[in-house]
Amino acid sequence: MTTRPTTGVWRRVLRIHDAISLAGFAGGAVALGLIVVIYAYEVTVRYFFISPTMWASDFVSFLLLISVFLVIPWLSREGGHVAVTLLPDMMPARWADRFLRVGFLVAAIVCLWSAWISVQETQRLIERGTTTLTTVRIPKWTLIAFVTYGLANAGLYFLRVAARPTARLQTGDTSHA
Amino acid sequence: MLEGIPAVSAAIGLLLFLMALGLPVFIAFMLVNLAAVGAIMGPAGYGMFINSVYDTTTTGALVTIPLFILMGEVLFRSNAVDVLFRSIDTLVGHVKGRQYVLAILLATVFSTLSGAAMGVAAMLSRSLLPAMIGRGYDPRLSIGNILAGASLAPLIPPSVLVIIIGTIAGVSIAGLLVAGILPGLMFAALFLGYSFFRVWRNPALAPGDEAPVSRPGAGEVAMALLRLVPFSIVIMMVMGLILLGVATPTEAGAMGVIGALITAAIYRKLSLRMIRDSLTASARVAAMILIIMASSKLFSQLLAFTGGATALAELVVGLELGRWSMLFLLMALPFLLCMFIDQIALMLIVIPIYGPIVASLGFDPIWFWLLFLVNITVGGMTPPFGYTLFALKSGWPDGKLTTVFSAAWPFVGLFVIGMIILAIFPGIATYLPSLI
Amino acid sequence: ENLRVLSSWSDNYAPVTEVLDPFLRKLETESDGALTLTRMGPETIPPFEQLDPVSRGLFDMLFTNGAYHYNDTAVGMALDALSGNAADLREAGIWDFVDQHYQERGLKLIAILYDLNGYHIMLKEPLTGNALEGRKIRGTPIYHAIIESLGGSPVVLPAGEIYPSLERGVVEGASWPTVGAVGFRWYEVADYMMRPTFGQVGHPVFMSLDTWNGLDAATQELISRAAEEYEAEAVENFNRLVAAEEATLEQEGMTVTELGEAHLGKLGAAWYEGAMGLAAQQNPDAIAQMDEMARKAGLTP
Ligand code: NA
Ligand code: NA
Repeated sequence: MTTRPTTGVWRRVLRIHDAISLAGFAGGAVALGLIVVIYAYEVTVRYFFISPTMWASDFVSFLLLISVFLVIPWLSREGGHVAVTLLPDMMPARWADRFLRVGFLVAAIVCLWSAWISVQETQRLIERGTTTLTTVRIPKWTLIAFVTYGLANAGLYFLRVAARPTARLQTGDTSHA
Repeated sequence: MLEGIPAVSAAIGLLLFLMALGLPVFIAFMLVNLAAVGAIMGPAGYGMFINSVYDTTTTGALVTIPLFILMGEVLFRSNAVDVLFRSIDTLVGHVKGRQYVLAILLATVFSTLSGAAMGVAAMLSRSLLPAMIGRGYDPRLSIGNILAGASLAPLIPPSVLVIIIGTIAGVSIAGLLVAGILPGLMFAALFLGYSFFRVWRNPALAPGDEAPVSRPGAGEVAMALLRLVPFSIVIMMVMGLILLGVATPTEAGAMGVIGALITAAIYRKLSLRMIRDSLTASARVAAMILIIMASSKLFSQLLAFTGGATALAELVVGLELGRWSMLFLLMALPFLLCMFIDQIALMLIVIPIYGPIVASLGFDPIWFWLLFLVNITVGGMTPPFGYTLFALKSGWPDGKLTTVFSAAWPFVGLFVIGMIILAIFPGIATYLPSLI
Repeated sequence: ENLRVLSSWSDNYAPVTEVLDPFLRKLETESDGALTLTRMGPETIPPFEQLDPVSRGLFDMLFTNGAYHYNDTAVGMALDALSGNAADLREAGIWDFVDQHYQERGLKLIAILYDLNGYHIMLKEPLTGNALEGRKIRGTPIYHAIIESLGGSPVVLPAGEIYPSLERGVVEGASWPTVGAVGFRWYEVADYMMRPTFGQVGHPVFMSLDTWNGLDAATQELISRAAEEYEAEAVENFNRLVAAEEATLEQEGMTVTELGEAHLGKLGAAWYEGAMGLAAQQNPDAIAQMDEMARKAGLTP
């Protein structure tokens, strides 16, 4: 893989970006493991000790959201999203490449736009003091913060993928579709 | 502002166009949604997008999807599928294309358990599909069998869709569940018949089976059966706990993961590294599927909001045609719409409109709604848009989505044939419920 | 003027067609066709996310239950803890208090459509002398105090899981308004319903404040008057509905199981304290004021 000539600082910024996203991805996987543990615990105490928890199903639903949005940026980095590349597949390679770059740019704009909407929503939720509609109530914005993170960071990766040289792009979304 | 049927056409057209451009599916949905919200409601509506995403990704019932995927990942790494294949080789022997039988069987068993076609499709595309392709089986035929088997999920209890149809249409839930048994078996038989026909015409579709298998002795048979025991722990953990009322179907998914871990331990494959790999792999696949579901939810909501889906359903119901033509149209509409909108949203819109005409045409409600149920389930595996298709693709990173699409079509055809048989012989659906 | 009405339930919750729809028709008739109302349901906005789009004016009216948005404001949910009908609430000043509270959040209270038959618990097995001792009962947080006071263990499950969970015995009972077991077909999987019932089910109807302020004074007047009239009619509609449902349930083999003397006395207080306590977690000041007004007017159990 060839990389664009970049300054040392820029490269370090990208490396930090990757490190943060990788940590997020690991967190998403841990969240999934926690879901298994929590449900196994709930089934056990409910069936054998007739003392169901009040929090198991709530935390499982929180963890599902957290897992999805912690993982999304890393998926975008790997070009792992499901896509139907009908038109690009019919084009000559050079054209397809440019075409897909524009597509990734559009994806970046959409993600960053959504993240901005999510930020505004977060502000509103904090102002209104809205909590989650669950037995164990937590401020709803804390969950929306994961949505914001996932969308914004996925947007950044789509920008990076759009800016990548051809060689790397080919191992991206096209080969998966 | 666009309303009614033109709004539906415009939105679906734009969505198909964006998807064909090669945008990630979830991005295509988000873009159409944001554009539509802006056009219909103005900036005040943008918050709906975040609420819709939040609502979907905190839906407890959807936890089944990552849990079944995780089960598949653990089984995949525990060598369980290979052991299963070898046992089937010994027990079933010469039958060419026997692993297709296994694909259908496993898909049917697991869909019975989960009620969610997506989870089963992703699970089998992670565990069974690579092993089948590795043995030289035809990817398309293997994928088709997995998709079709997984699509039987809502037909066999537990089934969320049956409960929704029962309550909105006012039909006995218990009756509908029983009604699904014979048709489910009939569909499975159709898929098997088709697979054997294809292998008979072209033996290269199942090359691994050419190898001569010697007649197994009693000892070998016993060993083969014994080797199946660890695998059946998984099935017991899921099915047994649901049937005994120990766990809800969602929780049973988690217990199945634990069963898979026990299986892995018996095969001496359990390690921290293996758990880590399984978790990261399933987190990826689950996020791919759930982000599409989350972003497409608002699309369904907007179609409901503009009244487009309602207008279409009312248009069809208003046509005064003969019994059979009406049946065809009443089925064709959800079949087409389900390619683009969520099954549950579609049911909330269409069932109340259909209710009176089903009565006035004198259709047996159990028979009609069972056909309807099969119909919308198939919608999940008809290209270009279907959760089951995307779920399978998410679990199969080496393949192309277009391959999955072409694999799905023959089986969609089989479903249509099956529905025609059901339409002509309603007894297949109504006989068992008439006994209770 | 065409108004978009958002309902938290689809047609399978009978009050939508039997109580809300007659109200909408009444408004249309009394306005001589100046108002037309289009009803939409949870397929457009999920039930628990509906308050916000209505307050933003994306929809004009909302038919819901207070518990569906108590994560935002719990004043609507506290309506279910009180005793007395909407007219009593108007007299005690509570109706106006609730209206004021929601106006601060961009919503105008139009009517409180009460089902005075309240809530109940459906059971697989009849009650024993120990009430619900050792049984797992499905219930959202508003029911927890009452389930625990009867010795049961509350299990939090979404409404969609009630049928399969009762069927398989994951839970031995489920709490819900008395209206519902027919529409959701729970009689197929539970044979008993606990009596007496408790509480009352409030179905507040809100209008987006922007929509309201955009109406001329005559139309506002007309809506307010029609709504106040309908609050009384709604009670009758609900009673008819409940009577019809109970007849159906009896026909389907569901029977009443009576709560013993020992637990009878606790029922009303447990419900009131439980619901108000839960509501106070979200809006301590407003709920304290409501509690004071309710006690003064004798609208507590
Ligand atoms: Na099922
Ligand atoms: Na489809």
